[in-house]
Amino acid sequence: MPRRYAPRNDIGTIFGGPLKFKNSHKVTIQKRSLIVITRREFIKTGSAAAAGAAVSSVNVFGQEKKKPVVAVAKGKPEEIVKRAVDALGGIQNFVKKGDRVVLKANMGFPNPPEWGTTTHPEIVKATALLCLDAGAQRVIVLDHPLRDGIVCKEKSGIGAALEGIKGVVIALLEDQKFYQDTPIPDGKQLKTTSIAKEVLRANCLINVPTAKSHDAAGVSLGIKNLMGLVWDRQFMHQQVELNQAIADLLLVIKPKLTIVNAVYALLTNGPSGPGKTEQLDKVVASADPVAADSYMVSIARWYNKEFKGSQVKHIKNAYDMGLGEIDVEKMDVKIV
Amino acid sequence: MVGRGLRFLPFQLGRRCPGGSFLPPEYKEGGRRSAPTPLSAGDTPATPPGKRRSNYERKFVLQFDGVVAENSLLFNNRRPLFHSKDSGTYPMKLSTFRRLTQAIAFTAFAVLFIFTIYPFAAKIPVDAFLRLDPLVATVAMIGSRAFIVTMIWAAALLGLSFLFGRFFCGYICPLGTLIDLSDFLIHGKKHKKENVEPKTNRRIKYYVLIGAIFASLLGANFLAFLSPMSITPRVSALVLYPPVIWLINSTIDLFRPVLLAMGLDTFAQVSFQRYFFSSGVAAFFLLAIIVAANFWRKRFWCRYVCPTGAFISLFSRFGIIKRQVNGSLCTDCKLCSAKCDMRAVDSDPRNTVLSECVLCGDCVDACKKHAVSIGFGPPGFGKGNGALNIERRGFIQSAAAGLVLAATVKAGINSPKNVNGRFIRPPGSLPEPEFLARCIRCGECMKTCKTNGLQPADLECGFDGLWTPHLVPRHGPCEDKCNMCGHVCPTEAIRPLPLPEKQFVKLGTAVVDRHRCIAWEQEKLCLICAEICPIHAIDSMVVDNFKGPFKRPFVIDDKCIGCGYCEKACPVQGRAAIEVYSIGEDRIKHGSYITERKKELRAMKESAAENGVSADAMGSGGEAGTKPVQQATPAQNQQTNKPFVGEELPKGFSQ
Repeated sequence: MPRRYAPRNDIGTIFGGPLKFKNSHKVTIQKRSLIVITRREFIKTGSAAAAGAAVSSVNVFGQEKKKPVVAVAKGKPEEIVKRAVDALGGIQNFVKKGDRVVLKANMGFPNPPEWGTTTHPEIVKATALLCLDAGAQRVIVLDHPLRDGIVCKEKSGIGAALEGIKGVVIALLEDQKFYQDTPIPDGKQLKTTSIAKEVLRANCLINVPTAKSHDAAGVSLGIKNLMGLVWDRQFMHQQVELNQAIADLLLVIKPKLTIVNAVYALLTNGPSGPGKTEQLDKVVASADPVAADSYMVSIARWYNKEFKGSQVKHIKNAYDMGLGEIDVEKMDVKIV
Repeated sequence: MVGRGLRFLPFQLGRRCPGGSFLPPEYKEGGRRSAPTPLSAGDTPATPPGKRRSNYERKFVLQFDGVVAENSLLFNNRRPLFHSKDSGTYPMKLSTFRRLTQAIAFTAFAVLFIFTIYPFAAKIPVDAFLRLDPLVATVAMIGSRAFIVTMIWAAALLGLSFLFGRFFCGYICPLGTLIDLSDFLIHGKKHKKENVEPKTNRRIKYYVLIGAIFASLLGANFLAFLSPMSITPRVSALVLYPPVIWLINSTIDLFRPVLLAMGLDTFAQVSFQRYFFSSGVAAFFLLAIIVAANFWRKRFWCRYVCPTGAFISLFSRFGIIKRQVNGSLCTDCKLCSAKCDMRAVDSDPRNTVLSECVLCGDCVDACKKHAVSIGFGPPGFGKGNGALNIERRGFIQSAAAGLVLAATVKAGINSPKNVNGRFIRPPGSLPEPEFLARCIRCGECMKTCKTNGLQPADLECGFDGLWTPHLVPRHGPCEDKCNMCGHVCPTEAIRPLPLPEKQFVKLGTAVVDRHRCIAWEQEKLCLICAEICPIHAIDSMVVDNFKGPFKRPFVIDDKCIGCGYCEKACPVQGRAAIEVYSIGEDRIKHGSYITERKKELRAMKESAAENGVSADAMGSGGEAGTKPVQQATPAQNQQTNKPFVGEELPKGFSQ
């Protein structure tokens, strides 16, 4: 049966698809169990329509699935992460004891957090501390910064915030040797790309993007933030259709948890700023990357206009590929 | 008893021979004695044939010169290491002390060189060595007709040279250390013997000095070839540093799996920024020639060429601490003359050419008679030692040569023309004539450049601009939050601007080549240039051209500072589709770069109209068929106040 995608509740798997990596046996097991489920459903319903589930399992089984939980917390940056994650059932759901956790923060610009171009240092710190509390063996905060790495680390405040925390490592991957060529067999535009080895090595990827506008992609939230784990990003602009390529990334890079920093949301002139920012003092957290992004789109006035997540092309593309929920109505939004 | 107060030194400073006054003239310092003959016939025992020294002579040494030698010798190769007889201790020989000092000084130079890097360059005086060079100070000041306050350290060095002679060359100079080291490694002790007859060819370096100074009158700066404080850092930065980084990184790469297995993740992430430089080979050949010249003469460079040494020697020959010979002990064996690397001791071993002597102490070691010492002597010239042997004719010739050379170089066809407009100087560079006059091409700014964007010029700017820094944005842009190059420039050819000031320096203006741009020509959703621009000086608007409406980049030329991030990030292979030209570059000598106009342009505007940009910045470019907007409509101008009206949607959105 041509089943391709992990089911909705298995979105936390970093290694989707038939990749041969260190943990690829896990992927295989998941795949098998998925096939069993699919077959069971197939028999149960007795419908040949299940064969069509290959393209979008969500469409077919959506009504049977639980609503994705999106937690929104408002308050001080150092507190809201814990509140939001607790609303999702606690960090234990995502980080197991002894895990090697990768935090994909956005530290691609040497701008202060008030500009909204980088993840707020307190958000990164709080997330890292949460992971350590859950028993993470190592938390690696990484990015492939657009501007110079060392300057970004210093000026974004993330370096200072994480300094001295045992078990936390900041990695600025500015050399090709830190990336590994990875096939994306199901990618519509992107068939192969180089992904940070740290991510492939880790047990758990937590995406900590910042909410900002973007010249080319409309907004830069969780899914767009995954571009910071890729070596050759210029290829994605130049050779393929960008919005689809961004969505394709989500096939192989699967964050277990997305925590969108909206302490300061950059509403115009993104992604580098300086632009109009709005102090929302919020984080939006979800295990569903599409849902987190879609919800984030709906709570800020991007370019001074109301938008829905389905209006953003790359988020829509990800939804169309069955990688998450885009409709805010179908989300279980918990405001804490 | 001069030495008594200076006990903190690791060696004892001696004093003048107290018994000298009652010795016969031929035994006084500097006195000449034809042969080691006995003093008087009556006391003379017959010297047995074959023996070099008579018993009497030994006795004499013990009786008379024993006291003298004990007190006047400062460093002596026959001293035991810890000698407490004379209430003084002698931990080491002078030559050992010198090697140690050289090692420390070179290490300091290397450490400062390594710390010539992003956050440290503004905190540590990494160019301390370079600011010591009096020739650099003189040439830069004459060339740019200005007083450079930061170069006053050179005056301090000259002051010390009054006291300690040409100690800088023997003890501090990193190029001297490099020459000594390579000499030891390549030639060992197998140097051919030199003829110790006095020669005047050592004056060549004074002619070089005169030429360099006269050339600076015409604003030419030849120190790239002449000053050790330019050659050493430049070769280190352009030639040695990149491969060393490559070596270290490769080693870490090799052990990375081990580090990861051991759980040393912090170390596993370490990878030093790689540097690449053009024209490093040319810089290397200069040093190679300097080192290779040791084959002919030891310290060839220091003896015959180095104008910095020549400059220091003008002052050092008054030295108070100097080489002294106890004439009564000297046997004219000329071992010290043969040993002297600098040929400061000629055929007459009692004589010291003070302008040449670097106080290395080799002669002290060489003397088998304990006759040579280095200590306090009478100030002023030695006996016939002060002469520099500069002829009037030579002076005029070298001055003329310097002027002619300077004029030739300055009149070169490429000189400061920057004909293709792609020659971009570092932020805060002085106006071009002053810049060229001051820049000593030391390479410090290129070493410290955070993005490796500063590259040495080849001959783009003529011979005059060889090895001067220029920004190659395709290689590395000028990081908006970095101002290191100004802080490391010893002559302030690049002004040391505070960061807020530096962020307003306009290096040039970016220009989009619409035929190469993939957004303009191929309708690709790119706009990386707009994405990366640190000050948002690139805007994207939907433009309808032959190919149809699409979102395309525009440079706001008044706002653009020419940092080159757009050129660096442009995904077009080869020559970028957006390039920085030195259009409108800021090159001012004094005053602030921050103007009201610039501040106004930078300020966040409430409406797009005020911003000078149409609201199409949020237009729905990238999606064919949307309505192109050439100019801002009133409704769109209210972008920050009211929602969009109509179908125009931000990039990436659809209805």
